[in-house]
Amino acid sequence: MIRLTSLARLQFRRLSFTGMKSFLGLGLLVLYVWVFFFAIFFFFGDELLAEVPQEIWVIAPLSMAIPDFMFKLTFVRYNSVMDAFLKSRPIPLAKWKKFLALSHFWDPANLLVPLTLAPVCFLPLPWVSALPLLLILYVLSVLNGYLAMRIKRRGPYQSEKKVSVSFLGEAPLSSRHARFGLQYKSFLRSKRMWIPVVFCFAFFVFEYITSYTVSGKLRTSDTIMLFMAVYYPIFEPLQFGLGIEANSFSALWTRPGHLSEILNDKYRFGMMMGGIVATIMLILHFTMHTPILEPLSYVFFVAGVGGLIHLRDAYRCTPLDLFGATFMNNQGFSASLSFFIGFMLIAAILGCIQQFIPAPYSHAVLTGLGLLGFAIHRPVFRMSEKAFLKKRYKYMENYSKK
Amino acid sequence: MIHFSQLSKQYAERTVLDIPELNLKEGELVGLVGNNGAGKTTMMRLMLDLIQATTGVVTMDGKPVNEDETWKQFTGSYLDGTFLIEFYTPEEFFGFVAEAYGIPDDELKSRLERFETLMNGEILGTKKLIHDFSNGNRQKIGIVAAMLVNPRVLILDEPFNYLDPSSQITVAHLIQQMNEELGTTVLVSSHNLNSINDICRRIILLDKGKVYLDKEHVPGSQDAELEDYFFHAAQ
Repeated sequence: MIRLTSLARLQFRRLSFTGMKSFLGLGLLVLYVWVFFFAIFFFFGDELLAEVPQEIWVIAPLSMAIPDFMFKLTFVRYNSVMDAFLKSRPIPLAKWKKFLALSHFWDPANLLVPLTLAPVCFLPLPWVSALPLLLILYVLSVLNGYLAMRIKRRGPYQSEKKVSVSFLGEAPLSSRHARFGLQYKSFLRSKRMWIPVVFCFAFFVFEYITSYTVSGKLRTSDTIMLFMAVYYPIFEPLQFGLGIEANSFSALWTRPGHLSEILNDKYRFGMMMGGIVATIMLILHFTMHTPILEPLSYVFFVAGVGGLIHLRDAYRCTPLDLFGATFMNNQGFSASLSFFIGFMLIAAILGCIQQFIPAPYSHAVLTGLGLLGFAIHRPVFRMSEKAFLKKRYKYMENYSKK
Repeated sequence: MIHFSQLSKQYAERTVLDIPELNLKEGELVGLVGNNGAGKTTMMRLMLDLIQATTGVVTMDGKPVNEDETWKQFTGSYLDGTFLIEFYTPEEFFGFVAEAYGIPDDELKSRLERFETLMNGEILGTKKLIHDFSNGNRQKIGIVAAMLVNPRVLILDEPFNYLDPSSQITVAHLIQQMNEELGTTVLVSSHNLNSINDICRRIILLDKGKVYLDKEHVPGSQDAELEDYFFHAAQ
């Protein structure tokens, strides 16, 4: 009879084989947030502790339980189905369910909230209050993960859902823009690609509008929401690098064409997403009188410069399973080291520009940088291709790892 | 046409392929056989520059495949599922192939007609993604995509796998037809000795990465030497 520890060992072995980047990314994110909180408390700690009632320091972290649950419901993949190599062996369902429940205690997604919010507990509160609060945050996060899995769980024999393309009508036989289709078709046909974009964009825009409507001006927190609303839809399809193409890399490699052309397509798809975001922002501007220069300059900057930064080493990737639904697939938690470096670089450039250059000049600078990025993207991706070709066998070996 | 020179591939200390010299002449239809681990797929992956040779080089038309990409213009290949784009419909995938080789849409349609018997009305117009097809139909899509470009060189790894007997006969016929009508140089690997015996005019037997046997063959005939080898290998 298989033991729970054997299942856990199997899971850790799989994670250590495929998920080291995720753990590194998580570690880096935690470090980044800790530095942020420590800096805030170092510079404004006395002021904050004097102004903010002590209950808020308890309520604020606890209130994160709701977005944490929404995050897990939307983004995190919970695969409650056994892989064939387990399902074909005598593993009692009750034991499997127990293992699934226990695995939430070490799931990286459930460690995210307590780890990142630890400074918010310990910096303003005495440790006798902070420690139980942190413990409660952890338990809530584990419960959120378990609940989300129960809601999203798949039946023991449920197969992967087939993707219907019947909305396309009779599939046309055409060679026009077939290569560019790699970008938008993979995005539209995979729920793991488009659902996070729709959900995140709606969430950030909602926060931005409600906050702006109440205060009538753009505060720092609104600016962050606005930036994220612009950033996420552009960044999301780019974050996996060539992870989608890696699944079919032999199909691409053995046929005429250049890798730089695929990178160009990917970059332009990011710009297309930016165009959609900009259009929605314009509609908001004309209907709800929200500011327009700021979001538009963000669109230019994120699509023009952010696209280059995120795609600079797009070939360093492993295949992204657009359809997979197997046990212990940690690809849903796709935070890689490169992604965090890219994100932090973009945020740092934006922060510096906004700090040292007053609006509206900062908007002009951001827009100018975006246009510059667009102007140089072709030579940049040709250089990327050269870098890929030098070590192509090593990268192509990674593409064969699933 | 295709020349292997001092070609070897090692993983760690283990040599999985070692071919000092080998020539595939223009217009040959060559069958590649051997037991599991003999190096058939490795040889094909080296020909397509998908992996790095430890020593030596493969040249096509005198140009090393790892230095010059001209071979991509005239080579069609299908080794495994990574040669497919799973989130495309077959129509979109054939469109992608046509775009890569500059084949106009009308020409694409007429070329696909050649494969109607193989596709058997189960592939085109189904509104399904390649990911959702059975293994047999995915195999057919890959083979059609490789042959669609009327290649000068065709490389197929285990093309008869997953196929029903009728489709195996159709694929063998299509390979032979392409070789005879277009003069395509074909390298096809298979564990199915009957299919190889039926169509190939030259058979190369690999054993533990080395060429064990390389001989002319009369298509349609049985080869006692080959059968003898596999019989003894099973003892």
